[in-house]
Amino acid sequence: MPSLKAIRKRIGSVKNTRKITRAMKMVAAAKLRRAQDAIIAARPYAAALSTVVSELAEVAGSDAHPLFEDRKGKRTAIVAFTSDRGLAGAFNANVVKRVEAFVANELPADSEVSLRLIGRKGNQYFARRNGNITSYDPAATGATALAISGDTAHRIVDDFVEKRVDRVFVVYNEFKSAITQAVVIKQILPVVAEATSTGASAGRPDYSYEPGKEELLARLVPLYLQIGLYRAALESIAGEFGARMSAMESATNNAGEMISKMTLDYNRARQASITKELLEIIGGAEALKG
Amino acid sequence: MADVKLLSGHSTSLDVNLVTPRGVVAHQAADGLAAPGELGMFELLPGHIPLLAALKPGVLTIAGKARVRYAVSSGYLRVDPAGAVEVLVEQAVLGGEVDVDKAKIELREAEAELGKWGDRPTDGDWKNLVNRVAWAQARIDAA
Repeated sequence: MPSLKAIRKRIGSVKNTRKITRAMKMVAAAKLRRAQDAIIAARPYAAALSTVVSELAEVAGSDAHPLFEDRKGKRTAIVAFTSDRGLAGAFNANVVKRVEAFVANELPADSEVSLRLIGRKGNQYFARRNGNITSYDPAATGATALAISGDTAHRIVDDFVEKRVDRVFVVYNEFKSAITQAVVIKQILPVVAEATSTGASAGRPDYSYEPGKEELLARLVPLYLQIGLYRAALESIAGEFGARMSAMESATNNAGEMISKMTLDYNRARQASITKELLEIIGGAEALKG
Repeated sequence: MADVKLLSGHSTSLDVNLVTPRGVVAHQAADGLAAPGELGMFELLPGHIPLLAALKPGVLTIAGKARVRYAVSSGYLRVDPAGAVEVLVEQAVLGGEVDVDKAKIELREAEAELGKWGDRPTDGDWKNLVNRVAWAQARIDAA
């Protein structure tokens, strides 16, 4: 049985921990709201750009741009989004595990895999295991997500066009709700143009293109990739806060449980010591009487 | 019925919608606009034929009751058959809201980085620097 003082100290420290986890939960909840707003704000842009790119790809022919070309090569790049900080449950572990499972099970055995990592946690993990890391950026925040996704888009476009890689995938946590995130893996290069309904193409007016269709595609496809990565980054940010919120929620609950259990122990120990003292006094008094 | 459609297609004002990934920046009726096209600045007036044009970083001017200047980065401008103008750019800032000092610092830094590039082959990172220079310059021009 630990001493009364030790239990009291321990209760105090768990109470402090609970304060911290509760505060972290509230911070994550507030940030989550902002991240969700950013996802919604990006929707009109993404929808319009995706329509224009698929229309263009259709009128120009899908072999019009090198980024549509499926070379069937074995060099694969993976862009993985993790967070900079932990204490978010299995958020980061899910991403790195998915990447490893994907490389081991779903890619051909002779694939050469290179990684472009966004987020410190993913970098730590793969650096320790000697992963082939081409680039690393700190995790995106609401303010930097657009710049990071733009930079990454240009890098992978250049890698692809210069034939340093043949396929590019992106892995991230998709934000489903505050308590669920699902790890998603998507091919982003070569671009798979979303098929527009063929009926619509007949009635489409003739646009004048400036510069030509192919040049326009060359300008817009990187933007299209950028918005794809931007959305992945935003989903990952929202997912991180969601994961942290639920992790901190259960940490707070666990701390509460621990505190009540320890308070019980404390009271029991105190009662035991009182009883012991009483018995000693009574025993002493009896001895004097006799 | 067809005539009515034609008339509305050639209305006397442009319905301009300026959109970035961060949300809709401006949605307004305008008498005309000037945009930094990939092939040079161009002006757009109501009743333009359907057009899809690539934009490079520069100054976009929307002329309505007042002339409003925006610094925009790369994207595209589309005039649809109904005459609505959709301007999609990666970034857009109102001319009056540009932080000129910050833009100048960014311009200097990016140019210094580019200067250090030397003979290395140009890759995606080089392109990112070029874009950064152009975007900083566009903001300074718009301010």
